[in-house]
Amino acid sequence: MSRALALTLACGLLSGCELLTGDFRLTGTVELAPALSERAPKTNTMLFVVAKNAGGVPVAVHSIINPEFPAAFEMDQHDLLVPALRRQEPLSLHAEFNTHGAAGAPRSGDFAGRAASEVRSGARGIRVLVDRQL
Amino acid sequence: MRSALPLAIVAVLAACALPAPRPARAEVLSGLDVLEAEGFAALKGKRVGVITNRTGVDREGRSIVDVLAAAPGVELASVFSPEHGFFAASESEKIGRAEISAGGRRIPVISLYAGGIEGMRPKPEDLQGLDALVFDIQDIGARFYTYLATMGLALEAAAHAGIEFIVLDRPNPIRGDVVEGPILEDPDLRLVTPTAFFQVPVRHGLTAGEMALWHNRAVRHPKLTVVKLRGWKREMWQDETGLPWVPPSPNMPDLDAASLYPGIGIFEASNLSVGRGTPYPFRWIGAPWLKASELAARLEGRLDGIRFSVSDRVPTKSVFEGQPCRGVRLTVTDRDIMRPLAVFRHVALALRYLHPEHFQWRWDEAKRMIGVEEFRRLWESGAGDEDFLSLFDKGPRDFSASRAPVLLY
Repeated sequence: MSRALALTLACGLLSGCELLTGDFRLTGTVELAPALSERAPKTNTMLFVVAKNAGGVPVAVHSIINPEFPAAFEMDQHDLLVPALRRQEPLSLHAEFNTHGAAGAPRSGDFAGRAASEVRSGARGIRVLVDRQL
Repeated sequence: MRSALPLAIVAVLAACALPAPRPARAEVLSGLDVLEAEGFAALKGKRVGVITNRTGVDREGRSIVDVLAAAPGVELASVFSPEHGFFAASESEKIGRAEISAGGRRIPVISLYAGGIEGMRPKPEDLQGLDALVFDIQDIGARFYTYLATMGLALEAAAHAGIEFIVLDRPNPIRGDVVEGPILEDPDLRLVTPTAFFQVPVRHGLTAGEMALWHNRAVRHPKLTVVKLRGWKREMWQDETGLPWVPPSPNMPDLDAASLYPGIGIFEASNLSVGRGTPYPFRWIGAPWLKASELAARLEGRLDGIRFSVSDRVPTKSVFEGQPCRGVRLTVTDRDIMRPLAVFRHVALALRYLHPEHFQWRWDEAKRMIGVEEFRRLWESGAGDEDFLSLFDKGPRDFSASRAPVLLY
């Protein structure tokens, strides 16, 4: 809590930016490309929707176990990996779909995809297309 | 007769060349199987949360989440996941929330590994509206494996919230009739770490249901129910039950690793690699400075049911990650007579002899793992195996009487 407060103060003093804490939100849908639907595993699967900042650092991960596609997702403050986030921080979103349950550790045979463009907190209707098998 | 004799010899030799016979499989029903067989009577009309991971499967391999989501008259409201997450695959110190698709619904997965011991306790707001909290996770039979501490904390939270706590029992995979190692002596350690939660020996020989009853002697929750196993006997190993083996954590790939874990796991409180990041977690120990040949020579042939051989490895994670290590491979040859705590004692004393400079304990952690302060005093005084044996034998002797009231099988 004190770390978040210190970050807020520091950020405010240095650049006048505003930090998000409890009101972080991104919503959308992860779709599986039709060409992959036959090959994709049906059970014991894990879908990760990962938001990275401009530096490529993951700032939020939303996990869905045994997803059914198209899989709607709603990322909120529970998914944040950092104490706080700048409100206007541009974020890139990608999806990882696998049977080993680990995020950020791609293995051969995993599925992946990304959103077409960067988003900011509050964005709705984001579409992430899983269209690659590693 | 003259021609029959060579044939008999050939037959005997052929039999010797065959692999060891597979253990006979019994028709054991887990608590989940029994719940299903009884038409979910214990949960009818209730709104429930379930603490589980991917080990919570029935005999057919179906996840308890799918089973309860489809169970008539049962409302599955939430899932709680322990250390390593629902997939039992994460090695993160802190695991976030998730959700799971089951029965055409999205159900929240609340992490009970959200930071420190308090992050393992279900929050009152997460229990609000539930009638019952169900626990169904495969444990491994060692005191410092954290899933049963998760259960203990959840039992306390359920008592506080006044809701039912139901344990769907599972076998102790490394048998229930063998008890080894010192009893944890400091009751306050449970406030600090889940690896030192119960005042039981290192290898306690209890099932999850029995441990719940043991813990409930202090918690005194009147609404604790254990759905017992059917057909399980204490002398059974997991692979003799007919129940599927699902690796319960990232470094517990098989029953051999589990059988050695209560002993070799203690070295996680030292500067030795226990094989994380090698193909043989808990079946290999190593370090760049290890005199592996001398260590193997000192140990080989001294203990029943296990062999020691030199094997050099480069762990891909954890201790000595990426560093070439000299090492010793431990191969269980007869699990029924192999005693992991005896293996621990002999390996530890050999290390003290061979590496007085290099081998080191992190004593705070070692106390939590071994359970008694006396170990350090003996170690530093240069005591021999007889003294350690006496220390390690006391636990099972004392525990055999005190655990009797909670034994269900």
